[in-house]
Amino acid sequence: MADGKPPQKVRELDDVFLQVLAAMKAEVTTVAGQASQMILQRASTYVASSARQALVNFHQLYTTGAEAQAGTLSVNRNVDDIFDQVAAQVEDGVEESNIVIMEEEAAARARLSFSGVQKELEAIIRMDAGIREKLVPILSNMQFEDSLRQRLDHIEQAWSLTIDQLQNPEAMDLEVMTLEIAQMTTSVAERASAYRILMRSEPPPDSDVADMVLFDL
Amino acid sequence: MALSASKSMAIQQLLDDLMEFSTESMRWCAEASENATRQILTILDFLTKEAARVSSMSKEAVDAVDAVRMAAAFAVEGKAATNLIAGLKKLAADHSEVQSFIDPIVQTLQFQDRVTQMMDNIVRMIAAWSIERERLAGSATASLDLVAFGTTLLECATMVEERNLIRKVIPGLPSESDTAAVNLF
Repeated sequence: MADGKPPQKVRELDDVFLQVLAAMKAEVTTVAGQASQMILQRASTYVASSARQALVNFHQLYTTGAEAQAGTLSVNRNVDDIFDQVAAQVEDGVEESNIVIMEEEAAARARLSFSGVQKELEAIIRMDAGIREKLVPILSNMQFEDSLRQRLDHIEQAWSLTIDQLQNPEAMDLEVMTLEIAQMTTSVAERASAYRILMRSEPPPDSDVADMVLFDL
Repeated sequence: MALSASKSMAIQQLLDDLMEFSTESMRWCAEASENATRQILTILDFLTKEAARVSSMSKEAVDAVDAVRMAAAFAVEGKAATNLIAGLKKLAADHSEVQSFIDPIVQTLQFQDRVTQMMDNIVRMIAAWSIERERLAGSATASLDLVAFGTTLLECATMVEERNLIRKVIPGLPSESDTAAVNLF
């Protein structure tokens, strides 16, 4: 590859493999979702009906509904933004009744629906200490399903970006590209892995990523 | 315009690193999936206690389920689901009264086991892609044989559903019956 571009045969191979990877990702995500659904059904025999319904609602929002579309981190960031807006206005001497919060409608919808169900489950856990240990395996499984989906998404996106950029290798800025891939990651362990392998470094201390904490148990 | 040798090497290094990152990420998923299987052991524990509480299962059957659960909990990495499924199936065969209790659990475990297997298989597929990529990039005369590459991917898969997905992307691959016949010999 004198011009740096991969030969046509390699590009063809990459294209085919990315299609296989995308198909595998779709399949594994579906099966993981089915596994979570079955765990919810099994658990319904030993979990109180109030918690059962909240769990089902939570799973729907968490994996297929508003939260999944908005992304947990973006929901968290949105909440942080609101706090920042309030803090800034309080600092400027704005009276409580005059504080104005700007929030996009879609983001507000995602936050309210997801956090609403989350709060409902937290309340159930607080009312019945014994239910905590019963819910942990179910919630851990949902969290696994979500982490799996995210990890697979990031790998697919990273390769798509790289193969796309290889069409014009002369213009490739490898530092910018590896940073872009590292910043796709959404968990502490994944980001550390990306920085270590791709950038031979550690994530900066103010790295904008946090492991998701589902509940304040 | 020819690309400088240093840039060529840097790009190759990036591709190797990305392969390593992808593999590490998939291994993490396979381990997390194994942990998710172990969480099902906890659910099985709650279910058994509940069954004992409402007396829908004899003490003997509860003890038998517990024994299988404990054995699976200490299974070597990657074998928890396999051991548990085998143990529970045998239990259902020996104690007909627990059949309806065990069948849904076995089904759940089988789904979780499929996830673990798929993660392992994706790791193998990425490795096969990497090898084929290197072969093609390293020789001007090497040609791409998609059917041969697809056959290698089929060998990485352990489930019919996965193999059918590969067949959809790469036409001309041997059918399931042909693959079975080849494996037989």
